Amino acid sequence: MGLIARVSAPKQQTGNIIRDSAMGLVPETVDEYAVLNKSLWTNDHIRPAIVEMVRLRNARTVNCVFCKSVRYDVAKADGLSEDKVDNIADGFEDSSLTDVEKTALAFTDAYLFDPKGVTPELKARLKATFNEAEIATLAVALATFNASSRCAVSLGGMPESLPVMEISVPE
Amino acid sequence: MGTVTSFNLDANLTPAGGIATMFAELSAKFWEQPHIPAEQIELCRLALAVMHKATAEQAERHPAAKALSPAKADAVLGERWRGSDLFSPGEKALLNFTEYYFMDPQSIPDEVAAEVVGHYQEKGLVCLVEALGFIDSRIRLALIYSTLTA
Repeated sequence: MGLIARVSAPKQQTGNIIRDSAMGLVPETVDEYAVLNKSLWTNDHIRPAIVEMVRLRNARTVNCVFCKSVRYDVAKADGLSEDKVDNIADGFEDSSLTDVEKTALAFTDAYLFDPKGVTPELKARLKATFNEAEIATLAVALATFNASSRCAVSLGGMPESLPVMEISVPE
Repeated sequence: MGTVTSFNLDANLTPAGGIATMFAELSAKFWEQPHIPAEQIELCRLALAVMHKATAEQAERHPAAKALSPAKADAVLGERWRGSDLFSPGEKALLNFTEYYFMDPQSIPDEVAAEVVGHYQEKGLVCLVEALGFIDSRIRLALIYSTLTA
């Protein structure tokens, strides 16, 4: 992993972690990125705790240290506990997570590990658990989180570890 | 619905509401930005399509990249770009980075990233990783929806 940052952060800091990151170097996209990221947490279809579990499963797989360390306050307020977070590991299917949570994580794993290999069983499970709007919401959230975390890792400068920190969704 | 690609994916995401619109609009921005020409972003999209073995995706051509020569597209699709003299050093730097990105962003060597910065500056590298993120994610979702909608 690139331990040294490959690009500089913008000189002007705004207090928004997205705009103040290296992504701020591309003004043509950073505002839309920030608005999309914020909107994922206020969507009409999937609870913040489930969104956060999907985000953390992705962060764990991509090994984005920043992403893994964050807990969004809206997710904690929605009931996401550290016990649940501990279960977002390999073997989550055998954990005490709910069927809805496990299905959201199974969808995440299909996206991350084998998007061509969605089995008939997973397809049936998804359709039995979520409606079209919920699946689409999970899809957009996961795609955005995956793009963000891969961006962070690709740009280098990732510490080896960070403590867990609770933050608010950037405005 | 037939086979889904990154080009017709958004119709499947529409039920999500506003975030689907935002996702589509942001994805489109990477084809209009001033840091890396659309034809070179298209080379990276084709390379990702090859690595995903996304056959229908490989058959598509992005309308923003009309100036891309078919010979270059064919060389990427045939995985012959590395030894080809059709490509500029900058294009080869982008494609080399894309291959590492696909395998695992943690595996990207510093010198491979530095090569991109050397040709496209720091803004170009940031733009590239953002664009790869959205293109790769759209191909992944397209592959999933191809099964979900079959």
